[in-house]
Parts: sequence; C-alpha cells; structure tokens
Amino acid sequence: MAETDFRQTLRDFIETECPPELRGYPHRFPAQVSMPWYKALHRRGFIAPGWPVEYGGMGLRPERHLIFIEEMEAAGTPWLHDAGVRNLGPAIIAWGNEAQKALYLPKMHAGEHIWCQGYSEPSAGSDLASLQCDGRFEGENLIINGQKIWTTSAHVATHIFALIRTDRSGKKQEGISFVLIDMSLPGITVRPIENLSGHPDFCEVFFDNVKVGVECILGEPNKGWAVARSLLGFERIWAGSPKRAFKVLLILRQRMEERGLLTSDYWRDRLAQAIFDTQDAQDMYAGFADLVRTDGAVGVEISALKIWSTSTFQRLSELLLEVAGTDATLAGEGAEDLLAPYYESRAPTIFAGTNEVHRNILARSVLGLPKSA
Amino acid sequence: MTSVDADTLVLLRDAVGKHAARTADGRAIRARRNSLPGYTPTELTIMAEQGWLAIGLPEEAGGLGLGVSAAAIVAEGLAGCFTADPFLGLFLAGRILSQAKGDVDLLAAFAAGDILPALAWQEQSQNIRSLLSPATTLSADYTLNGKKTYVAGAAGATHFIVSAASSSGLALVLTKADAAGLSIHHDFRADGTPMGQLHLAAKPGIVLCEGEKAEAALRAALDETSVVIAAELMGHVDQMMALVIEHLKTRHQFGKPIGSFQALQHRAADMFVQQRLARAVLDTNLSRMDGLDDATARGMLAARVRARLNDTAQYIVRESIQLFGAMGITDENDLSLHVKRCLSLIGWLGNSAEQRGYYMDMAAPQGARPNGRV
Repeated sequence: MAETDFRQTLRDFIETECPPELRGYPHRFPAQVSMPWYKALHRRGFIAPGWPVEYGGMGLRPERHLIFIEEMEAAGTPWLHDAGVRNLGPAIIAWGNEAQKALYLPKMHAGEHIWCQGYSEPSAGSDLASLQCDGRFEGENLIINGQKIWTTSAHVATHIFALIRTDRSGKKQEGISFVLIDMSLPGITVRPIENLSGHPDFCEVFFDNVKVGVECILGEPNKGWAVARSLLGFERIWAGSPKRAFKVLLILRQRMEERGLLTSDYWRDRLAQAIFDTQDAQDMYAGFADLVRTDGAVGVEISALKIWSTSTFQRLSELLLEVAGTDATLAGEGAEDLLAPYYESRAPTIFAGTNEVHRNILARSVLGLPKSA
Repeated sequence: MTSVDADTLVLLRDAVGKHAARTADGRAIRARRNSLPGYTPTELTIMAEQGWLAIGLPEEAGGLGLGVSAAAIVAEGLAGCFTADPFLGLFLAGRILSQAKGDVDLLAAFAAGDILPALAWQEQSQNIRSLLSPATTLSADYTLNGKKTYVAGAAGATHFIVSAASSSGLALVLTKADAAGLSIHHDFRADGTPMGQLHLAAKPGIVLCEGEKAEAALRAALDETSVVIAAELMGHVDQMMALVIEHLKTRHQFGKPIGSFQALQHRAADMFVQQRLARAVLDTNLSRMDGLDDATARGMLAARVRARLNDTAQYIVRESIQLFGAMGITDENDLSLHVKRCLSLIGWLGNSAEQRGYYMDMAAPQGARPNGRV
C-alpha cells in the first residue's frame, strides 16, 4: 500500500472508531474508559503493529510503524494499558510453548487480559538482578511471597509478568524465574501510588503465599533473566520511541500559532530546533527499530536512542511551558493541562534503566572504557 | 543525480579510506597553512585519477553520475587525512556545471582536472536564505560588475561561475580567471586554507543559465554540497572520538586510567549519543536524498542534516579539548587539525541558525498559513 493510502486508511479508521471524548487526553485513562478503542484496534488487527502477521500482528516495517504511531498521535488517540502486546507478546512468541501461546496471545490481543510488568522492588531498582521476591517450589506449584513496586498499570491489570527469585545458591542473575501470574489469585494486594501529576499510574504489588502452577513459568525455571534480557530490545525501543516528544511537538506548534509567535524569528528558531531534535530522533529510532524487528536484539548502542529521545521529550515539555508564559503556572484540565507533558516527561529518563545506567552501559560496553574506580 | 548500488559505495569507501590512511600527515598540513592554493598538485591529480572529481557529473559528460551519497563518502573519508579540500569546492562547482547543462567538453575537462572552476555566489550581505538577490550585475554587454566573497577554491581556479542579477533574473555566468577585469584577494580560514574575494569590473563572461533554471541549479548545488560538508564533519567527529577515547584509556592520573572515572565516562557516553545520532541522521537522509526529486523536500532534509552535523561537530570539539586537558589546547596534538577544520566548515554554506531559518522559510513561510509540516 502506498504511504498516502496507508495514512488515509488509518485516518478513516480513527475517525470512525475513536470517540472524540477519548482524544487528546494527556494521561492514561482507566482501562474501562479506553477499552472500546482497544477493542476496535483488536477487531481491525491494529492492536499489535509490531507482531508477526501469523499471531494477529501487522508485521510492519519500522518506517511504516513510525507512520502508524504518527497518525495515532496526531489524532490524539488515547494511550493504552498495553504492556502486554508491546512487551510480553514478543517474549511469549519467542519463548513460550504452544499451550502458553494459545492461552495468552489471543486474550492479550483482544484486551481480555491486561498485563503489567513486575520487575522493580524497593531494594532492586537499577540493580535489578538483586531482586528478592521469593518463589518456592512445592510439587507442581510455585508459592510466591514478596513485593514489587513502580508497577505501571497494576491497578487495572488482570495479569502480571514478574521476575521471581526461585533459587539463591548461585550468582544473582541466576535463580530468577519469569512468571506469568493471574492477579485475581488470592494473596495479591495492589496499592496505587499517586505520581507528580496527581494520577495513579504505577503501584505497589504485594504477594502473600500466592500459588501458581509451574506451567506459568515462561522459558525454563531459574533462567528468567535471559527471558527478561531478550525483552530489553523491545523495552528500549519502546522507551526510546520519539512518539512522546512528537506529541509535545504537535502541541507546541499549535500553541505557537495560537499565540502568534511564529512571526517572531526567535520563536521560529526555537520551534525549528524542536522539530529537528524530534525528527532526528525519529531517524535514529527507525534504524534501531529495523534491528529489533530483524532479530529482537539491537545491541548496546540503543542506549543512545533512549537517552536522546527521553531528554528531547523533557526539553520540549519545558519549551511548551516557556511558550505558554504565565499560563504555565495554572493547573489545568485535560488537553488544556500544559503541565501534563512536563510531568509525563519526568519518568522516561528513569524507567527502563535510568539514563545514568545507560551511560554506564555506553561507556563500558560500547566505548570500552575501563571498569569504574 | 541517480542512486547507486551498495557495492559501488563500499568500494568507494574502501578506496578513500586507504588514500586517507596513506596520506594523513599532520606536519604537511601545518606546513602549508596560509599558503596558496592550500593543497598540493599531487592531491588534485589523485582526486582526478580516482574519479572523485567526476562523481557529481552526468555520465554523458564522462562523469560517474553518482548520488550525493557517493560524494559524502569521499568527503567523510578524507577527514581521515584532516581535510577534504579541494574536493568540496570542486564538487560544488561541478554540480552547478552539470545542472546548468554546461557543454560536454567543459565538463570532460573538469572531470580530468584540466580546468578548475570555483563558484562565486556569496556576497557580504548574503547567506543561504538570500542567495537569489546578488548585488553583482550582469550588463547587457555580458560583463560582470560587483564583489564576491567566501569563494572556496578561488586560489588555483581557472574559471569562476558567478551569480549575478541580469535582465532575465538571476544569471549564472562563466568567466575565465585571467586578470582582465578581475582581482582576487585571499583570506585564510581557521585551518589555514584560503577563500577568495573577487572584484569584478567589466569582466566579460558567458551565461550558463538564467531565471528559474539558474535559481534551481544554485539552490540544488548548495543543498547538496551542504550535506557533503556535513559528511566531512561526520568524519571529523569520528576521528576526534577515536582520539579522545584512546586518551581516556591510556592517560593515567591518581594511579588509574582517567577513563575509569564515572564523571568522565558519562561525558564520553554523552558524546557517543551525539555521534550516534549524527550518524543516523546523516546516513538515513543521504539515502532519502538520492531518491528524492522534490526540491523543497530536499532543501528541508539538507537543512536538518547540516544543522545536526554542525551542532555535533561543535560539541565534540568542545568536549574533546576538555577531555584532553592541557594537551587539548596545543597545536601539536593532531586533535587541533580536526578542531580547526571543523571551525572552517561549520559556518560555511550555513551555520545552524541559518539552517533552521532556511528550513522554516520552506516549512512555514512568514505570513502564510503553515502547511502542516512539522
């Protein structure tokens, strides 16, 4: 399909299926609010643009995938609770047995299962491999006790994929299992955490003698670190996506026009800088996305993309406040809330590996600098 | 210009790389600073023999008919021997001659290195956003009057291509570099290579093209050369990064390699982020440009690529000097050759502020409704 036809198809679809009241909201809606849109994407086969076609994906090439994202963002379609299709789906496709693929992929695709990612713990942030959430084998079951934190969407999720310590005898990276857990099981408690913007987006999750069958382990028991690592490519390409900055760029441009700033050389220059920074991130993203698509592994250089895209998102959100003048001091609502992109842009430099951890990775693994003193 | 297959580009990259490795000589570069023409006859001969001068020329004129990608590979590779001169100025002039559909004999002589044209478009008050309104005039008797500045390759040039206002609008006029009606003053850039000022007084010439055709040819040649300059900057960025990373690994203080300190590791990592970003922007858009005909779209791409490489080069220069410590501010360190070359290139054919303005002229013309491009 020609690019213009592809764009038109998407625009027509959005126009028909995405209700205006869901557009342009700067936070994630509760799942039940955005679910009609999720379902519409599912029905049309648009919910998993990066998955292979045989599993209900679109198998899009990176340039097309970017166009897909551009059109979705330009129309202000809502952000979804989509850690499942985005992150876990590719892992199940790569590591799952046939029973797991059959059980999880269709329901994830249909929005019947909403997934969250249970990695971080109170004492295991940047040093994730030191995680302690305990899993004890009892026959064909695994008994889980412990806590996860900063778990995005846990308050709306039906399932959690979690890294659980199932063996303590070896190195810390060994003895971790990648476990798929139904959150309706007895013993699971979720406590939402209010973030800077006043919205509950992440949570604490407590496990108290939660019993799951060993068939819920993805990949081999005690080899979950390898599964999690194989997802890093997808996680980082997602974390490094320029779509967040692009969304702010659209708002910036609109605000500048409304305020008549584009007759000023100064503001035109600032806008051009924002456009360049974002489009350049898109060029970088497309190259890495191509690598992810090819073999799921992008190598360590992708840390550069994560750092650039997330810092660009922050710079643009701060420029938006400058453009707004004194309006920027007002706490607004909905699309009028100019502080929303500012708040939203704080997390990406921290999640999916802080940008400082990514600098360590670049220094050691790409540039080959000596081990830190 | 047409695109080429990947194998041809690999071979070209290999040939340029070998040439650069063989001829990189910091002492020779320092010795010929502030002298004319700023390069050796041997270098020119090699460029002609290797076919690099013909890269931008159409095949029917004995050229290779290759895309901007190929010229970019040459310029980037030549950063390995500290400078792509006189390649850049000749590429610029060659693209004008090609697009003006100059006569085939002229182009063939150019490809062989037998004539050395230089483009004289810029005047003191002009930049890439205002190239269509020169004060230099072409009279009805086909003589040129005016003053041109920042002419790369003026020293050693056999011909000049001069942009001038004529009764038919903008004209591109070919004139010989002989003394009648022409005097040349040479300024030297930061790296010690010359740029000429031309004083034209009743200087006779022949019109290559005029009106919209001249405007389009000039615009296209400047956009393309700007991206080729960006490619040379990329080469210098890679060279400087290699020098500085090696220094971080080998220089010891407090009993350890300084590259083991996290403060410096993070600075180096941030430099890599910019290097990698610049690489992605350059390579992605070189392939785009090879397959893109729309002049406005090409101009917008060129502006964005060039601004990114200008900014990256300036940043890597600053950080490299800092990380080298006192060694970074010596002329003796070969880093200095890349530093001075970058300073000579960044402001030529559009610094980043000019590139952004140029981009906005196309994306959102003043007074017009923005066309929705962001």
